Amino acid sequence: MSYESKGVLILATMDTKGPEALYVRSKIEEQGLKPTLMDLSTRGRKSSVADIGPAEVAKAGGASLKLLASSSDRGRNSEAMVSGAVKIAHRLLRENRIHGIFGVGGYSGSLMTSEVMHSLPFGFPKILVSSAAAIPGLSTRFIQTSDILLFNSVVEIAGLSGLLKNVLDRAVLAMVGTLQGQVTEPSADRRKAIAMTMLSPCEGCARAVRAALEKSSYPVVGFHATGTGDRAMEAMITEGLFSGVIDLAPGGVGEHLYGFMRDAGPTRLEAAGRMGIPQIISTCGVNHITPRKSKYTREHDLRRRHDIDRLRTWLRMSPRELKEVAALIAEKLNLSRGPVSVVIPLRGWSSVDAPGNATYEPEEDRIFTAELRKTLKKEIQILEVDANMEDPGFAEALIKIALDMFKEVSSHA
Amino acid sequence: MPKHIVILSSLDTKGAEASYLKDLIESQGFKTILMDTSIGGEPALQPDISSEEVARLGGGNIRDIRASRNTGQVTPIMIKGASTKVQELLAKGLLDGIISFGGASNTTSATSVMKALPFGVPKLMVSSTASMPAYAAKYIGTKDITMMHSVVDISGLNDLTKAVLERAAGGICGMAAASGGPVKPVSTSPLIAMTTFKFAEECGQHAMALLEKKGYTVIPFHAQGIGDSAMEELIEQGLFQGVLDLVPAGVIEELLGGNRAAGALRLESAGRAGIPQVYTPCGFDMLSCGPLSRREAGDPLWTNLRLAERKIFIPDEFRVQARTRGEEVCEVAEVVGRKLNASKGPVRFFIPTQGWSSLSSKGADLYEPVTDALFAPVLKKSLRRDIEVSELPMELNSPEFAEALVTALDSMVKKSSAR
Repeated sequence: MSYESKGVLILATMDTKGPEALYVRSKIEEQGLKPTLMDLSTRGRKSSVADIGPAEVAKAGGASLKLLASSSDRGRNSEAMVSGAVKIAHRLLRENRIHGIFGVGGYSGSLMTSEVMHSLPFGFPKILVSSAAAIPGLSTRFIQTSDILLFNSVVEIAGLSGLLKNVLDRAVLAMVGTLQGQVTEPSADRRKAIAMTMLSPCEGCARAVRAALEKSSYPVVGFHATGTGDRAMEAMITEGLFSGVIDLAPGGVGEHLYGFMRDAGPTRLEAAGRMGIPQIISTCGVNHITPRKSKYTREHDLRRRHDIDRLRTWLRMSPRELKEVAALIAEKLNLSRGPVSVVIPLRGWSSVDAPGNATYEPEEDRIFTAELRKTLKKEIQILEVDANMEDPGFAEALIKIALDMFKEVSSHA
Repeated sequence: MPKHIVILSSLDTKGAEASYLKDLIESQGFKTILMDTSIGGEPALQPDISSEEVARLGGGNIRDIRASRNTGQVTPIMIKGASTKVQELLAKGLLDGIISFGGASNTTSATSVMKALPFGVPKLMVSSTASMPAYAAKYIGTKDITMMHSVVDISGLNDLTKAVLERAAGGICGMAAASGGPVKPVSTSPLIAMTTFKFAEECGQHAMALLEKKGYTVIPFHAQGIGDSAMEELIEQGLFQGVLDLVPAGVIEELLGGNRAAGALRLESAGRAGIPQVYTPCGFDMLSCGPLSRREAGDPLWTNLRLAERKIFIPDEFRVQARTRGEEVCEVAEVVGRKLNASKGPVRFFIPTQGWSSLSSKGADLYEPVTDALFAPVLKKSLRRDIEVSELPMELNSPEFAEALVTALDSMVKKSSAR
C-alpha cells in the first residue's frame, strides 16, 4: 500500500484538548497522510468539529450523549466512550482505512486512548503523547502489554505554545517515519517458533539457549519476565504463535501471590499448558522477591539482598514463601495437556544468587524442589543440574532437553 | 549536511540487532554514530565510539570494568562517559537524534544518557521493560523521552523483533528529519512558566488569561513533583522570561516525604537564572499522602507524622491530602527563605490570608487559619529585606488575587527587560 493512501486515527477528548487535536490533524494532513479525528469527550458535548463526534462514539458504545451529560459518573462515561471507540477503530481497521493510531491527552485522556490502543494488534503503529507519562504508576497503566510508543510531553497539553508544538510535531513525524518504512509482517514461523522468558540475571543462559536453538532452526522470541513481558507472552501463546516455551524465569507467579513488582497476573504459567505445547521450566528469580522500595516493611529491611543496579534490588525469599510458591507452580503445571520438564540448578538460580553472593542459599532452594516434587504429577520430570544458572553446563543440560522435547513434538505433527 | 543519529548499544551481546537498526537508519539517508556502552566484553561489531573511549570519558578503564562483577558500580562510569560524549557530539552538530534498545539494564543506563540532552532533541528508547511498574516513570523522569514498548525482547533477529526495530527506525528518522535541535526561545511573545494544580485551578486559569491578554505566552506545569522539576530544568535551558510559581508545594512535600516531593533543588533555578519570580504559599497547607491504604498498612509517613490524627481531605482513594501543622509551615518558611535569598533577580511573595488553596479556604476540609497565620512572620524574618511579602485579605482562587500576582509579575518582567 502506498504511503499517501495511509490513514491515521487521532484520538482526543476535544472538550479539553480541542486546539491541540486539530493541530495534530492538520500536521498529519500536511504530511500527506489521511487523518480521522475521533472525539472522546465524556461530558456529553453535542457539537464537535471532529470527523467522528462524541455522539457517534457514545452510540457505538451503547450509550447516548444525553445519558452521558446527565451522569456524574465519569468512570462509567469513559467506559462507554472507550468501548464505542474500540468498535469504531476495529471497523476502520477492517476496512483498511487506518494504518496507525495517534493519541494526545492528559491523565484521563491518556487512559482512555491507551485502552483503545490495547485492543489493536501487535505491530500496528501506536503513538501516545501524554502529559501524564512520567507520573509514577501511570505509564505502566498506559502501556501494559501493548507495543505503544509513549511520548512524555513534559509541558501540559493546554495551549499551543511553541514548546507543545515542538512535541506534537516530533510525535507526528515519528508516525510519518513509521508509516513510510517497510515493516516486516510480525508473523513468526508458527510451526517452530519458541517463546522464552528471561531476566538479566540469567542473560548468559538465555543467550546460549537461543544460539543453540537457532542453530537447529528454531526462531526464539524472548520476553523480559518483568510482569508485563511475560504476561504478553502468555497472551501471544494463547493466540497460537508458538510451538514451545522455555520459561527460564517464572518468578511472576510468586510475585503475583505476594503483590510485588514482577507480578505477572493470576494466569501466568497456564497458557502453554492449556495449548498443549511442550514447556521447559527453570527457576531464575523464583527464590527472590521484589517489593517496591517505597513499600518495604521493617521485615523486608532485614532480609538478605542484592542490588542489581541503581533501580533494582532483589530480596531473598523466606523458606515458607519458597514452599508456597512451589505448591502454586506445581498446581499450575499439573493442568498442562502437553509435556513439561523442570530444570533446576543446584548452585544458585541466577547471577544474583551466584556462589559467594549474599543471597546464595542452595540449602533453602531445596525446600522449593522438595515441595515441587511432592506436588507435581508423576509424568512431569524434575532434573537438577550441579551448576549455577549462568554456568555453561546448566545451559547445555537445558538445551539437550529442549531439543529432545521439541523434536518429538514436531515429528508427531 | 546530513543529519546524524546516535545509536547507543551493548555491542558485546547486541551486535546483530544494532547492525540491523544501523542499516535501517542509514537506508533513510541518515548518518549513524554507533556508541558501544557494553561492559561485558569485545564488541561483535565495530563501533564508531568504542567502549574503551566511553569508559575513559567516565573516568574508568574498560579492562577493570570488564573484570568487575559489580554492575552497580561500573554502570555509572559508562553512563557518565556516554553522557559526556553525547553532549560533545551535540555541541559539534553531530547529534540530531538518539536511539537505544534493550531490557532493564540498558533502559536504565540509556535513558540516563538521554537525560543529559536538552528538551527538543529527539530521544527514542525501545524497551522490553517500558511497562514495568515503579521503573517506567523513572526512565522518563522529567525529560521528553519517547518510550516504545517492544513487548518482545530485542534479542535475535526474527520477524517480531525486526518489526519492532523497523518501526523504531521509522520513528527516530521521522523525528530527526525535521528536528531543529534543542528548543530555543523563538516565540515573539515572552514566555512565562507557571506551576498549578487542581486546588489552585481557578487562580491558575485566571492568571493565565490575564497574562495572555498582556501579550505573554504561559507554559503551565503540573506541580505534582515531576512537572515542576521539569520546569526547573527548562528554566536552566533559558526558555523563560519570568516564573509565576503558584504552587511551590514540592518544597514542603520534599521536607516531609509526601507524594509531590520535587527534589532538593526546587525553587532554585529561577533565582540562579536571575529572572523575575512571583510566589504564593499554595500547597504548603496540605501534604499528599495517598493512597488511603497506607493508613491501614501503618505506613511510616502516616505513623511518623501522625497523619491519622489530622484533618484529611479524601476525594478518592488515591488523592488523599492531610493538613500541615504549625511547625511544618514554619520550617518550610525558613527553607523557602533560604532558597529565595540566593536569587539574582527580583522576587515577590504573595500570601492570600483567607486560604492558600481551595482546600483551606473558609468551610473547606483543611481550613485552619490559625496555622496559616504562623507562616508569614517566619518567612519575613527569613527573607532578605528587599524581597517583598504582601499579605492580601482574600482567597487564593479569587480573581483579585490572580490580578495582583499578574500585575506584579508584569511590572517586574518589564523592568528587567528594560535593563
